[in-house]
Amino acid sequence: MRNKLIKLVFFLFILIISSSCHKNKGGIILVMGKAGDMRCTDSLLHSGPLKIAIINPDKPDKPVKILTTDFFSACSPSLAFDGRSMVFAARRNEQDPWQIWEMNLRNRKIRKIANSTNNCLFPAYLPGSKIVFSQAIPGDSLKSEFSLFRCNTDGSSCERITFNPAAWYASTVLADGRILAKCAQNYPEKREAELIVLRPDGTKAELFYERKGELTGGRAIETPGGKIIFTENTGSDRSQLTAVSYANPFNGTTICAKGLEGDFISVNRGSEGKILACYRNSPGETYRLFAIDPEKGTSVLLQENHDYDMLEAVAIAPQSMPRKLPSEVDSLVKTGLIMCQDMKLPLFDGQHQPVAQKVEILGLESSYGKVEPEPDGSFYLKILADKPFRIATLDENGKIIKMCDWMSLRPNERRGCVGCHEDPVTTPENRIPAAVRKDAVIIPVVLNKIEEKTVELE
Amino acid sequence: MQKPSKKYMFPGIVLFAVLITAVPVHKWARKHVDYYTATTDHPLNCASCHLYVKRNALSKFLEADYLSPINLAASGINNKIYVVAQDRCMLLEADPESGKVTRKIKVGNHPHSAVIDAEGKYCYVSNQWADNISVVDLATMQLADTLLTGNGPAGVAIDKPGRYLYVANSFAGDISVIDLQSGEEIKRLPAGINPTGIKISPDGQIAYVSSRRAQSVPYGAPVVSEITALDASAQVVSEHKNINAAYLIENIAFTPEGDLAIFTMIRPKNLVPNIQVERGFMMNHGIGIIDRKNNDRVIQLLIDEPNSFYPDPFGIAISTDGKKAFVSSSGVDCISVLSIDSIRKIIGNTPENILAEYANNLGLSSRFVMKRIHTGADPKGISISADGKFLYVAEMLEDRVSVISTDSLATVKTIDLGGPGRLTVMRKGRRLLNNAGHTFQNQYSCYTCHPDTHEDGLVYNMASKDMGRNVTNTQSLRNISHTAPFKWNGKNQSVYKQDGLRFSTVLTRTEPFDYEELDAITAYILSGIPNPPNLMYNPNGKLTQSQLRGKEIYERTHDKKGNEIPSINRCVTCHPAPYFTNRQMVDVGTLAVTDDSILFDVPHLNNIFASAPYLHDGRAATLEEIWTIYGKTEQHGAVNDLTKTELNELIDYLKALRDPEYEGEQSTVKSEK
Repeated sequence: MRNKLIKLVFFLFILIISSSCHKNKGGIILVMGKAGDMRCTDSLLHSGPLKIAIINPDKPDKPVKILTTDFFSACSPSLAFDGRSMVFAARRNEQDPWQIWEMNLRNRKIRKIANSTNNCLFPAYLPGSKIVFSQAIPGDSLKSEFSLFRCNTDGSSCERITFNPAAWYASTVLADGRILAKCAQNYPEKREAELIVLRPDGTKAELFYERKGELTGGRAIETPGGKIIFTENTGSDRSQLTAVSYANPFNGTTICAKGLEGDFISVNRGSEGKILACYRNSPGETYRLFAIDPEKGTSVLLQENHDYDMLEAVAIAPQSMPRKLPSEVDSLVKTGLIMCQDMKLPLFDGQHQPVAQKVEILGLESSYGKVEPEPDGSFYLKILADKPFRIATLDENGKIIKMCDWMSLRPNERRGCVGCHEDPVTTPENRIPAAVRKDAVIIPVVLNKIEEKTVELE
Repeated sequence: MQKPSKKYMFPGIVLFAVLITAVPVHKWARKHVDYYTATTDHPLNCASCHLYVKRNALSKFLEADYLSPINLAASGINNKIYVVAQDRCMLLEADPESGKVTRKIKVGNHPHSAVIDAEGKYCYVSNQWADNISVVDLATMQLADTLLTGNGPAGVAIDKPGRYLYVANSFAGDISVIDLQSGEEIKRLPAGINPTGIKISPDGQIAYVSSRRAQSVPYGAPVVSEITALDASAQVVSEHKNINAAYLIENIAFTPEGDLAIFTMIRPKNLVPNIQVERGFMMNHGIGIIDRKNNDRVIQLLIDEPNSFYPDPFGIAISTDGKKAFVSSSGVDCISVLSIDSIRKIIGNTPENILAEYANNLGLSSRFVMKRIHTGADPKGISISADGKFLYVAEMLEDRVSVISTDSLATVKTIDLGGPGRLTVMRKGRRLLNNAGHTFQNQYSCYTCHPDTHEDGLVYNMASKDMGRNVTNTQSLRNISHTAPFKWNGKNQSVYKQDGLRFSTVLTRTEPFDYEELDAITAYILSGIPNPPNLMYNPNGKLTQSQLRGKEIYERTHDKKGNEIPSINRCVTCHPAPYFTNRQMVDVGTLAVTDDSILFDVPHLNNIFASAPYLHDGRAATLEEIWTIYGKTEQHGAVNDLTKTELNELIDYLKALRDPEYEGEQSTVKSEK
């Protein structure tokens, strides 16, 4: 009996040791594709088969280990904050839609998270055992191409969080808990993608960075040093790694890896303060994997293969957990509130504009109505939630002076703007907007009353 | 079959008893904890409530005597630094070269600031809770004299000839001018509300005195604070300078040329519905610049950035070459280094209307902030060495002074002041309260709206339900352990609930405290925050004749005609001693049209003199206004039969109310006047 007990304890000890020493001591997750296939985000849906593999950069001669052998194609890996699992987009067969899967990197077990008939891409972990991803919505009444969704990591409680006519993709989660995603308007006209930041419940969406060139490739990343780095087009077959400060993304850009003046297709987090970038000098070459020091700008070639493009890479390493933000969204509420402090606020650079007299709230197909601001320039609206709208300032003849980008409010969201012409770095003046001394104007104005739950956040 | 042995009977009974009581006791404990924490998963840890938040012998044993250095002064004569250790009521002498504390002396109650005379002979330490100055002979490190001041002496400065000592009396809102030859106060000059910082210009002609609280105005009126300018040659006030849209002006520094005076300040957004933190919608922090060569115009610049905030700026010092300004951002444990040349360029080349816009611009700091230097917990007072090579930083909640090279802008040394060296639960709670790390993008700390764990005198529109409704007057955190429930609507039965999930949803808008942190901050709030002694209106517990007459009115049961006053309309019914609250919900007829129909939690009244404005929405600028303007019915106390004099006597009594801790022999915080 005693011997048996000793054997059992020994067996358990070995089991614990072996499990803790399992396969993933560092390493890099790599997305590879056959050289010569089309490589850009737009063509991802139609690209040739992509494989997710694991490599050890310290042993470049060791063959790569393919992790997604069961799939026709797989890409967009994103690691859990503890570095023990990853989510990725994949399709089992060529004709299947892209779906979201999770792989336990210790035992390589996979499970399907998203279960949609539509393409799902760019998953990323959120704090609180949730993920965010992009999902195509063919024939969407809101005219969006891809919207952001979030769900639990077991696939439950899936909910859409963006509602404007745009394509949302390439999400990453910032340390402050917000999602940073690319958003390209597609109605009424198509526009280049912008970097937009929003809370995981879809509230408080706002411009993060005023785009200078075309944003290309995959996700933006945040470095421990407080930089946001992304790929930006600088001409035909040329792109650079652009860095902005998280603290002040409006204060100019710097270029990472100045010596590399070809084409970056992706950037992701590495280990020990480095970033991983996939890059080629010219269209005739394959994309290679580099480790770049974002502070010094130095780069080291980690891996190359003349038969395969190295398209995305992420280091297997734990990272600090982003903040888990509380939510003000209440699905039983049908509206959101928005207050603008002064629609007449001049542009910060003193640029002359006609003085706005009214605002018009425009829906996708029709006007939701015109609203006269208070004498101090403020207006206060209660708008049907999860419906896209734009606010246009009108001159005395009813002509549009300026129209803001598409917005939408989540149920029970409350948000504010400094002004319709606001500079993104301007904070509100400390005064009570006259408009909030009255009830909010219901939008669309044809509605007199909306029966809904009243929520007191406290 | 054998009978069970008797020796197993007793343990068996005990085991049986434990088994049958464990489940109901656990259930009861779960219910009890759930009620107080307003959650269902707070660990059943009895110590968090029943040990750390109680003021008893055991909790005192677990607590430690921290030093809490708040301010310091560097001597140009012996190159030592003199550190004001507020919690231990001491002045410490530290040698920056050896990194050691060399000597120490006990000073008065709750010391605040220190200044050294030009010869390096004496250090003058203001004792904020004792209404006096300790004069320390630096040769012997002995107390040479004690000088009497006004109420709440804080900032101190000596004029250029070394004849007068100026003392900012923070509670009274005035300035004592003390003749250093006679040791007598020769004048008392009016200042702003809650003045604490004072600085004399390099030419000795002018002194500026900061004020932390804004002028008391009805909700909706602009926030205006004062910087008081003194003619230092004649010891008179030359100007009461309005600083618009700013408050919590802590300290001031002059450039070596004296052309610019720079002060720290916060620009609150209390009038804007608090619907988001993004884009600086709650609090902005920065500096104000008095441009003395341009009609003393005032320019305000933010040291914040669009996604990163630097709350609670406290100390300010300017390098001896006039190139750099250092600001301690207490809420994020860092020193912001500002380029004075860049600031000069900005204010020199920008039209006035654009400069006015800059006060709300989060992007501009990138043009003049050179570096952010990380420090220990809660950096407060800062001072530059006489040779200009080092910046000394008092790290209040680290019990440490850090030494930063003004050239390389790197921390070259830290001086351990000899604190307990361990972090108690309460100390952890105090750090959390003073740090903005638990607010989205570090925009503000608890301290920001509760400076010195009191309240900031502002009224906020928390917009929890709808914008523009239910505005609320900030309440003090001092000695509130016996005054639950909390919030004006009394919805929070405990500090656990007050600072739990609601706190993150409505206020900080980021991840809530974890339970260990929540336990710590609750422990600190409930047991670690004493009220200052009420030296201004009740220094020794003996009421004046007027206050005694006021007390009679307060406690009366019949009006002057002999009619019995209904119990609910007597002051003492709702506001009984010792905390002057019955902790009930009442309607006192002050509901505004913009309020939801609610009853109000009866507020506690100790040290009420220091908590203007009054009523739930701060509509009463003074205690008098509660009845003369806003209490014309008898709902908020029967006072309509009182004469003006009698009402004044009632007010006199109210102002005399002080913390029960100061009553009787069990007092732990003695008044020293």
